[in-house]
Amino acid sequence: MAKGVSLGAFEHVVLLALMHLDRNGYGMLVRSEIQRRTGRDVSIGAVYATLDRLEEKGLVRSEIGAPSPQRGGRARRSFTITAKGARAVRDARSALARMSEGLFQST
Amino acid sequence: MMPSAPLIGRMLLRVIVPRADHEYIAGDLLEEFRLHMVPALGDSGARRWYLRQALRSACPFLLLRLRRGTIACDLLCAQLAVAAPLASLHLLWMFVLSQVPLRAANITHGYAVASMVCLVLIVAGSGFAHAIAVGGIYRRSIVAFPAAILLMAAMMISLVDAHWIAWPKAMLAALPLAAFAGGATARGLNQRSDVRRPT
Repeated sequence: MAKGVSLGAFEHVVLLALMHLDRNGYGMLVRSEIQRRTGRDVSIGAVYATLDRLEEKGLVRSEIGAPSPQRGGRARRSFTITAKGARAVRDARSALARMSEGLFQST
Repeated sequence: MMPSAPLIGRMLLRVIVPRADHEYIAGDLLEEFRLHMVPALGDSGARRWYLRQALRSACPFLLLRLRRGTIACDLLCAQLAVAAPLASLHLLWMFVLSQVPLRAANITHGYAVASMVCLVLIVAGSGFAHAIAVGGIYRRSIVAFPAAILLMAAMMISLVDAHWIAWPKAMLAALPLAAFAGGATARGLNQRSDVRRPT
């Protein structure tokens, strides 16, 4: 078995949020999705810094959208998870499952 | 009329967010502020939320800038902004001391030369760090980090008898190299951890 890309805990959470958002993931929605599902009030800076790192690793890609009046005429940068990113999430999930095997059995 | 985000928060974002990303990040925050926070928290609550977001984002964005290497340019400017007044103050102090006969003995030989060497090293150090950042030669950070420490140590040893004002100058000379080297090394380690290895 080959060792894949290593994911930090927050990187993992951001990738999962992007998977939930499908092709509609941009900074604000990723932030809200994480807050809604985990209850963690994360800052936009933490989300963007993580997305930038993930893009550098090739796990997500971004594209620039059209500006809108709600955003003060500013453009939007949408993020999509790549095949490599999806594989990294799958690998991390199965590694966690293997590590937790037999630990949380109810008696 | 749409509510506007607090001026201090917007200014803070302008300072801390990398220039290339400012448009998207400011847009995202403004959209959430207008569409969700103002209806949910009211005007003042939403303004507090915006300011809190800007403050809490400062650290991640500074780390992001350090990782990208763009902070070396900012450090160069900040360093020169501090070094130039310090150098002027130092020259003025030397002139004042030279006019007081009883204190003239305090001026050690080679003090002016040490000061000039200090300034040249400050500029050379900044230029070196900047050149590495612009050129993207991250492997050189391995050389830059010990070089920064050696530079600082050498200057401190050579300036033992100098006036106290020379010490911050010596530290300023090494700061950009050390900061850049730290960021670039972290980036290099991060990239190395992504390399797939057979087990």
